[in-house]
Formats: sequence, C-alpha cells, structure tokens
Amino acid sequence: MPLLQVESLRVRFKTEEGYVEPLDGVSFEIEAGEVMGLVGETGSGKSVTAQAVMGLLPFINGEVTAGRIIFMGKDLLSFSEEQWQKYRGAKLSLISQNPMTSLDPVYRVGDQIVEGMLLHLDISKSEARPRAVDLMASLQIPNPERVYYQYPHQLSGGLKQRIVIAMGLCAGPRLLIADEPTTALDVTVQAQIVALFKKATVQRGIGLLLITHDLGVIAQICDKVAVMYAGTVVEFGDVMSIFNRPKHPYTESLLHCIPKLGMQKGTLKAIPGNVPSVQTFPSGCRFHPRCGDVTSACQLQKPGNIHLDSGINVACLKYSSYMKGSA
Amino acid sequence: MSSLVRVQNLCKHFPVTAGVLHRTIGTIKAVNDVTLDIEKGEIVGVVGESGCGKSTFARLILRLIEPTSGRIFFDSHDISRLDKLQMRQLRRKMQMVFQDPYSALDPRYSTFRSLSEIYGIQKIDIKNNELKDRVADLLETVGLKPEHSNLYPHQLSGGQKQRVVIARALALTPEFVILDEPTAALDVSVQAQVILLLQQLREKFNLTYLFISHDLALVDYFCYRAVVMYLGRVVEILPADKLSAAPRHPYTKALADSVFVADPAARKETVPIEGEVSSPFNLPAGCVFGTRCPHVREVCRDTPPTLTQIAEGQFLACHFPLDE
Amino acid sequence: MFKKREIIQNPAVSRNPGMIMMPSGHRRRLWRKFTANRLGVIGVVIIMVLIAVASLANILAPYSYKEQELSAMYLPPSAEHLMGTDEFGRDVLSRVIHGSRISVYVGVVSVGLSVIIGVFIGSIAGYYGGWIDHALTTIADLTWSLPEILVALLLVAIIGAGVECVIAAIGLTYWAQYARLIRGQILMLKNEVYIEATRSLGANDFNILFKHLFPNAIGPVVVAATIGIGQAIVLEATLGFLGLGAQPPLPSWGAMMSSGTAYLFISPWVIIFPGLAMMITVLGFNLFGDALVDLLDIKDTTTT
Repeated sequence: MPLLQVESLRVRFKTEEGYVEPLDGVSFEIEAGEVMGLVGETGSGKSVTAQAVMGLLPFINGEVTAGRIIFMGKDLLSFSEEQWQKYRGAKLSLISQNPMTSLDPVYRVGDQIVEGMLLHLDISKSEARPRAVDLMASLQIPNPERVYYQYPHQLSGGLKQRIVIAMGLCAGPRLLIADEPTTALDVTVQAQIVALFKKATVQRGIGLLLITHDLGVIAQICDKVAVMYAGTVVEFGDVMSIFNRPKHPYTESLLHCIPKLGMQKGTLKAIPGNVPSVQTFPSGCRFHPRCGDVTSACQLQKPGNIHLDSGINVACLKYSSYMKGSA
Repeated sequence: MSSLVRVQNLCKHFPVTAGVLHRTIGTIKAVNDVTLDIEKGEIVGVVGESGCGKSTFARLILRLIEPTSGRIFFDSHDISRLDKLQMRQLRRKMQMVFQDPYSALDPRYSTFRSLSEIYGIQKIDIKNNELKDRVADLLETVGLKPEHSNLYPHQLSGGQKQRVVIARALALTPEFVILDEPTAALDVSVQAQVILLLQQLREKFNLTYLFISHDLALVDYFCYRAVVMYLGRVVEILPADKLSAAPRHPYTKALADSVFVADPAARKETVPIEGEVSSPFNLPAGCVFGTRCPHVREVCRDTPPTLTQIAEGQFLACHFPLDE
Repeated sequence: MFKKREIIQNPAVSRNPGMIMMPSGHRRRLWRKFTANRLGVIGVVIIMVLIAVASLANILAPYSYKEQELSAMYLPPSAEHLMGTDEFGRDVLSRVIHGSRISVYVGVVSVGLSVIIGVFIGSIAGYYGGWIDHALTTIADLTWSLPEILVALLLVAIIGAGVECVIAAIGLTYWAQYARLIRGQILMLKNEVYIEATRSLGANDFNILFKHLFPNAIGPVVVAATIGIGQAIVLEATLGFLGLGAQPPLPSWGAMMSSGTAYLFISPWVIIFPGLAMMITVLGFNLFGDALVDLLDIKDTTTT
C-alpha cells in the first residue's frame, strides 16, 4: 500500500472577491523509500498541495472540496485539529522554502531541533540532546557539538538548510515534504543538499515529496514525477518515462524550453503566452491557450485523469481513447 | 584597442568598520583586480556563486558604484574619471537590465511614464506625439501591445514587466547592455521567451551584451564566452561551449559538474565539491579557491595565480590547471 | 532610430494625450474604494463641515463672539442661545463657531510648517546618510524630546502669547516626527532596484529625490500630517487652557474651556460645547487619516 495517496484533490480559498480554486484534479502516490518530485511553475499549486497534505489549509482560509488524502491508511481529511497535532512533525513533516525564515533567530539551532523532539517523542531533554547531535552528524554537519550551540545568523546558507532538514526529521516522520529546499542556495551547495536528501530518504526508508520548479533536481534524485500546471497534475509517472517520452504537451514543451549544458544553439523553444494566475484560469483544459496540439474540444472539456498502460497518468484529451479508469 | 568595453585591474574594496569611532577592521574585496575585454557584438557571460562579485562588477562598469582602483574604457575612451554630466551622456550608450522586474519599475509609474521618463532625464527634446509613437514602437519591439502603456507594474505579469525593463534599456538605442540575471525571477517557460527576445534584439540593433547569471546552462546556451568568478577574482575566461566540455580551472569544473541535467540517465553519482564559499572578509593570501580545491598544493596557499592568456580570448588563473 | 511602422494604435492612446498619464479607470477605482470606507467618508464630512463653518463663521454665528452682555451671564442653553452664554454673557454658539477658525488656522499652518521643515531635513538625512544623517537625526531626537509647553513658554517670553506663539511652538517641536517618518521611508526605498535603474538612465540626485523617492515615500507623512492636524488642535487647546494661546477675547476652544472651569458644575455648557467641538474635529481628522492609508497604497490588488 502506498505511503501517501492523493486522489482528485480539489481545493478552494475564500478571498475578498469570492472563491478561487487553486487546485482541481491533483492525483499522485508515494511509496515508502521513494522520492517523488512535484514540479511546476508559479500558480501551479505545488505549495498549496503540500499545505493540503499537512492539514494547514484551514489556517489560510482554504478547504478541500473534493478528493481524498490517504496517509498510512488513514483518511487525513477526516482528522480533527487534535489528531493533526499528533501527526504533524511526528508522522509527516514539512520543510519550507527559505531556511532563513524557518529558524527562530533568538534560539540556538540545536535547541530548535530538540524542541521538535520534545514535542513528539517521549524523552527527556538530556536524552534529546545527544540524539540531535547524532542527527546533525548524519546530515554531514561538521563539528555538530559546536554547531549545536550556534545561532542561525552565524551559519552559512547550506548549514542552515541542513538544520532545517534536521528539524524536519527529528521526530522520525514517515513522510517528508520539502518545498523548494534548494532554490536559495548556491549551485555547488545545492548539489550537496540534494544528495543528502536522497541518502536520508533511502537510509530511513521514508517517503520524500520534493517540490521544485527545477527539472534538473527532479532528474537527479526522483523516482516518480508529478507535473503540475495551473492547479492540475497533468502527468504523473516514473521519472524515466516522463523525461524520455513525455505524453502531455506541457511536459514536452517544458523540457524543450530549459537550457541544458552542451545543448545546440537555436534549439531552445519558448512556450507562447503567460502562466495564468489563479483568478484567470482558462476554461476547459487550463493549458489549452498555450498548447501546440489544441483542438476545439480542449476549451470546453477539462480532461480527467487517464491511466495509460505504461503506468503513466496523463490529463489530456489526446489520450481520451485510452480512457479506462475514472478521473 | 578594438574592444568596445575594457576593464583593467578593476577593484572594489568595501571597508568594514566597527566600534563607535568606526575603525576599519578589514576589507571586503568584492571585486579584485579584474581585467576583461569585450568585443563589439559579443555576448560575454559572467558566472559565479554568491560572493563572487559579479553583480558588483556589472555596476562598476556603469559606474553606478565607484571603483576603488582600476580603469574602465568604453570605445577606447577612459571613462573612469568622467564627471557626472559626461557620464549622463555616456549612459545613452551603456544601459542595464536589472534582475528583479518586480522592483525594477517605479510602482507609481505607468508603463508609458517609465518608458518616456528617460527622454526627460536625458534632456532630449521630443514632442508629445512623437513620444507616444516612440513608446508604442518600443513596446512592439519587445512584444507588448500599445494597451500595455496604460498599465501599472502590479497589473503586469513577471514576463511582461521584464519586457518593459528591456524596452526602457533600449529606448535610446544603446550599444552596450548589461543584463544582470534578467531571467532569474521568471518562470522557466517565460525565461525562454525573454532569452529568445534578447537574441532577436541583439541581432536587430547590433548590441553587445554582458550577461550576468548563476545559471551555467543558460550562459552556455546564450553566450559566446564565459567569465568565471570566485570571491572577487576571475579564475577563468573561456568559450561558453567549453564550460562543460573542457573546463581547465578546478572551480569551473566543479561548477559545471554540480549542475543537474534534466535527464535521469545523466545522474551524478558523487557530489562534485564539498564545503561552501568562504567569507569574502579578509581573504587568505594565496589562491581564493585554495580552501576548497581538490588539487590544492603548498604554492597555491602562498601565491595567488595570475590571470594569463592561454589562447585567443581565453584566460586562466591557476597554478595547476586541469588537462584539456 | 526606430523606423515608423504601421502600428494599429489603441484609439484611446492617440486621441487623448492627457489620458495616457492617469487612466480614467484608476481614478474611478480610487473613488469607489474611498466611498466604500464609511468611516473615512464620515471623517471627510466632518472636515468639510469644519471648513465650511470656519469660512462662513461671520454669516453663521447668530451673535458677535466678543460683545458682552453682562445681564445675560451664564444662561443655560435656550432657544435664543442654543449653547447658552458664558461668564461675560457672550453667546457660546457664536464663540464655538468663530473658534473653529482659530482651530483650522492653527492646525493647518502649524502642521504645514512642521511637515515642510521635517520632510526637508528627513529627506536629506535619509538620502545622503553618513555623518549628515547622524547629525540631523541627533538634532531631531533632541527637538522631539523638548516639551512643547516649555518651548511655548519660552516663545511667550520672546514674541508674546498668542496664536503665532502656539504655531511656532508646534512647528519647532513636531517637525521631528515627520523627519523621522520620511527618513525611514527613504532609507527603505533608496535601495530599491527602480531607483538604481533610474540612476543608470542618467538621472541626478534631484530627479531621483523628487520624481521617484518622494511620491513613494510621502504616503505615511500625509497620513501622519492629517492626524497631526488633530494633534495640533488639541495642543492649541492645551496651551490655550494655560493662557498661552489665543488671547481674550479671541474664542479659542481651549481658552473657552479654561475660563469655564470655575463654574464647571453650575454652568457646564461653557466647557462641554467647545470640548465636544474639539472632540468631533479631531475624530474627523483621525478617521480621514486612517482611510488615507488604504487609498495611498497603489499596489492594493483589490481594486484591479
């Protein structure tokens, strides 16, 4: 059974001008020991998805209107806030984008890791401290005993990010969600942190939901990929198939508009148009105004999730003849 | 000198002070002895990580920041000592496109005002009708519509904003444009549009570009040559397509190896380099890359290598360069 | 340069040159936003009433503000004297009406003076930084810590008591808050990329300060100034209460309240009505100031 199953998720937010639906049709699965990448541009809804899985939507005027989220066999959507507080941090954990803002500047970093442990594990402070140091060492933080007593502003970007990862892992969750964990880091440091994520996932046998806009990072450590556009998962499957034989026009265009080291000059192809904002999502298939394969049906009908034989899920009317399962 | 822009031994040192009496306790050598020639019609990329000084370098060339020492030449004229009035004239020929389109435009100015302002600043006499035509022309050149001239920045998307910033830089048909991470804040699909636009504009108006970026793949694709900087120094200057194929400086190689290719078949097994960029405050005596270099030796720690020419347009600063 | 090409121009752009600068949609949106804020509208109404009363005082006031009628001392409110009479038999209503002129005069002039001084000093301090900033901020801090009452007393000794004394006292001490406000804004804004971009176009300091920094920085100052007018009116009343402001027989609201204290429990209307007038006036300015905060925010996406 998959560690996390998200099915046809629909989310709406209440704003001053009424409701907006940043998510409509998000489906994917993660197994334990697997790294799943959630990739998309701005407005794709990747962060909202993470917030939905963590049960944080009510705090930001959001709610799930349709779909299911099953985690370790439990229906997360039925959880009360009380149940959530036992799960958040302990069973599933979220690491946010900017390590600068995730750390409290007035507390030592080691203490912040310990705080997480004390909240969820039944151990004393004196037991938690050496565990925190061990955790920091496993994340390749040099001199962890010394770093424990430092304040966030004394640490470099890469070190801060490792501390934030330690805080995410400190209570031993089964699922880790990392939202753009390397965007703010230098390229050479990014390479280190990404490798660290892979090692931590495999060693602990946990599931990692890696949210990013960087397809290079996805190619490097992910086993499965969900490509998101304007609130929908347009394609989902194993990383090799997605990169080598993309099915959805957006995935294909996306792969062609990224410059690669060593690529031929003149082969960069832009996608016409703009990424739509949540207030201006097009009708029918949300990608249709920018799609090279658009047909008249695309404007009227929103494609459901189609399960292909190869194991890929794709949301595009091109494949409606393959339609076997439900949306 | 045939080069359009030449910088010679350019330095920018920031003193660090402490205490009530503001004693100087050290310097941050943001840009340290940089020499570079940019030929007319070239696209030269500058790559590096945080603290390498590329953004400071860009601003020094335009004298938005004053150099501590060194000379800057534009079209064979020494512009390092020009006064404000002369610099203002020069600004018609050298322009800059800034990184963050979200803050590069005055939020209180409509697009029209942002684009027409430069004529007032440069004291160019231009009638209202002609001004409207010029602005409409500019908008069309960058792929926007005349309706956009009435909009304010917060009503435009990131890509549209950046096009306005580019249009503003082109308003007086400059010869040289510095692009400081022009696509870093944009979505990937929009980035490609802007890059293609920049290529078109370069051909149409015969521009020369200095392209600052942290994105190696982008520099490889877009630029002819690449200048690799580390902690204020230039470590290598090489043709852009050699960045991944044949880098000779260990840092260039580490940088290229750290970039993840969007192809799962090309996964990297090992981490190319450990550690992080050290602080630019009070640098060590020898090579700036000495603390992280996998091939570091005694001489590297004592003597900084000098930037020497190894081929046409190619330079290297390393005691023990990698083989070709 | 650019070749002339066939461009299908937006008709609005080519026909109405003036419209290019400020699209009509924007003004309409501002108006709609303003009227939606009911408290702000109340504030504006109060201010407009105040200005109307002050301008038309001579017409509105049923009696003279200084003619005494000693046989009619301390009359309670009646049909003839809607607000009663004071210790000299003067009609309180007429005095309150005329008092509004003093309040408006003092409020606007003293705040105007403080804003001009404060914005000038604060901008230079914020823009140039360094020792200039240091010196000017120290002066501002010292000035701010001067109690205005002491300054007023000092000024009384030099120029004599009166409205000018109050205006000078307020102007000389309150400029510091506007200086600080605009300095803070400019410090924040001068590092914005669009300022750097304008500089790279060739703009000089003057250009940058006045065309770009000011319009973006002045918002909080305008709001503070609006509320400051209310502050100044209260201050005038305080100083008037102490006898340092407008001298008799000028009907400053503060002076009216001061002379009424003796008979507070017997004829409270002498204090209540000027007090009420002041309260409503200050409330009006505060409400308007609050509404301005929203209006001045150009990035407010709820109006696009």
